[in-house]
Amino acid sequence: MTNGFTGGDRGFGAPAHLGDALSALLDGELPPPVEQGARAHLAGCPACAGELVAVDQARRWVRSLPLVEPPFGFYERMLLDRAQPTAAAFGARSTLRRRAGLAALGAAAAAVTVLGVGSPSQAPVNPAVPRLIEAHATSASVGADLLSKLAPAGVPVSFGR
Amino acid sequence: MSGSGVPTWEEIARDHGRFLYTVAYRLTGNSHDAQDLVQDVLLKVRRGLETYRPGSLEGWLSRITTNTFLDEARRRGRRPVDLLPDDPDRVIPPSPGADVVLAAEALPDHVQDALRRLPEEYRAAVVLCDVVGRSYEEIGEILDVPVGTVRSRIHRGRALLRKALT
Amino acid sequence: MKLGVAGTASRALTALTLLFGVAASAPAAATGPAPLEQARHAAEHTAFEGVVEVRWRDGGVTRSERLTVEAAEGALMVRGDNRVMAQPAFGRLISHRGGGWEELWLPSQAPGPRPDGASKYRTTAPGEGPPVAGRPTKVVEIHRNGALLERILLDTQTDLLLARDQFDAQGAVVRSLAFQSVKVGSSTSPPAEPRSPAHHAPRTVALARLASPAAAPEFLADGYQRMGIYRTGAVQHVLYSDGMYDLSVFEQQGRLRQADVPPAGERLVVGAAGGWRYAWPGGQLVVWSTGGRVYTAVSDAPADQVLAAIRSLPAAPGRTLSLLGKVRRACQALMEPLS
Repeated sequence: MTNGFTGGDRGFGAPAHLGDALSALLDGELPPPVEQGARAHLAGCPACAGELVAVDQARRWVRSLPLVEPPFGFYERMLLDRAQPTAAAFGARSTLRRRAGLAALGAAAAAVTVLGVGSPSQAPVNPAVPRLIEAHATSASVGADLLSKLAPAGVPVSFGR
Repeated sequence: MSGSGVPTWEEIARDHGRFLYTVAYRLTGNSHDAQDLVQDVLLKVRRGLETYRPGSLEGWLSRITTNTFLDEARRRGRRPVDLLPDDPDRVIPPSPGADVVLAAEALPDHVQDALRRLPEEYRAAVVLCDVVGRSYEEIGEILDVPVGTVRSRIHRGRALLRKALT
Repeated sequence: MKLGVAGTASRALTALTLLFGVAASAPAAATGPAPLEQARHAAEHTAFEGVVEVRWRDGGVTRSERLTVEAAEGALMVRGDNRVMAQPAFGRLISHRGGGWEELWLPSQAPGPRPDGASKYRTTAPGEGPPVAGRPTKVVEIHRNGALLERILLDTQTDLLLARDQFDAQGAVVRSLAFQSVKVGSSTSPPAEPRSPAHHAPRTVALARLASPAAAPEFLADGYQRMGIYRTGAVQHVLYSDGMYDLSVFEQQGRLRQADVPPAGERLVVGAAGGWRYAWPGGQLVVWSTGGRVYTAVSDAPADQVLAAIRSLPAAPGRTLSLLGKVRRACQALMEPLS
């Protein structure tokens, strides 16, 4: 059928279910006449209406995921590492991070086996420093001089250039 | 931006570092692989291996990141598994009370977890649509598949996510 | 929070009183950082727009960035590589390049009233200052224990803060903020509310109840008083203030490794732990870890005050190490990769 729906035809003129047209509808990717037809179908089809709610929920959950902060110093270390470009640097991954990573892995493994340390409080952690700075600047700016307390957060956080 | 119009990787790191890392993290599902992916992307930019297309820098970065991710996933031998039977009449049954607004919201960690369990092809489509915000046409261009395939991967990805989170 | 609102109202009243008081008399009196109160009030009631340059000392280098600011009716918009927005109605928003707007604050979570900084700082008003962005200014100087900490230049006409320098013990500028150009009292309309956030959720900030109050004491060294306790995900945020400066102490589970922090930090000691100090345009940053926790302190106070305050944080209850604990820690330190 060429109605734009991929839900399949139940035969003999019965309306097809919308299937992935539901996602297209939510994303505004249906051309207006097709969208109209889809909405008309939804008005009379509880199955598709229910599926719409479910898929809309998943869509909203992913859309509301926050930005992820890279590990503290990630890009700064990369800059340092790449400051002396060599053929090896072009071909290999960051040796600095790898070495530290492998060494830490070894140390951690040794610590776990020898000393039985495995608690979450011993897990290496990267504080999300830029976010913490922003949290500080916003809370400090409440009831205080906005310019002094808040304007510095307009500069993206980076250290040690 | 540098004279040729191609951004240097320092500029990308400074101005789009969070965005880049976010996309890499949502695709790979863990910080170790995300770091590797970001490094690979910046390496490609630095070596000029990717033709810069003027326009949306983030669109360009998403393209490199997603394709690098998928290449690596394929190289590791994981084949995308179609977990839903290809039944055109199949309709996802609504969960009880779906007509009622659900009070409980999924935690970001759970959502990320469920994302990670999606087959890579679906995950890439969902991330490009709902994290990066590209249109179906742009996603089709990035993944080099027709818009219909984009649409079905996004829909199935979302269906799987919803199923995993309830 | 009732307390917060009442505090704000009483501070506004105080500021108004001082405005009239200062206009009448000339000689410098020790009034605490009331001029900053005046500046704050001015910023909330004057429309202005301009370009601000922030400079800060980062290790051996002085860095600078320019920001565009516009303000009207109590709202402020700052445009740099990040954009930051303050609205009385909906708090604080930030947007990074590549991201939509994130909501950082809600007015209902305002911290409590600040202590009065008068007993700690001495404020003098020596008179006219150099023009800033072509406008005549009056100087305000903040002293502590006989040393000059800050020089602030307020707009003679409106009391707006036009420039501000913070000095170290040697008298060198550590941080500064100054208008390069400004238009005051124009027909600037309030910065437009951003469209709803594109793909990024509000960061959930919740007021927290502390399981053990000893972990976040009400007072730190040098007059820093606890103003609020918040929690974002797994991170606890305690905000302190001495009336002039603010200090945030963030705490989360885990430990820090040298390989995980930016290389340019200044190594120092906090209690029994090693830490690193960094500078950002708005002040100081110190990270350290001890007893299974990672701490991050952020403050616009001078470095020596920040260090004194964080060194006065008590070890968390139950963190005195057993012999085995001490052995573990010693072995861990030995196995730390040296880089």
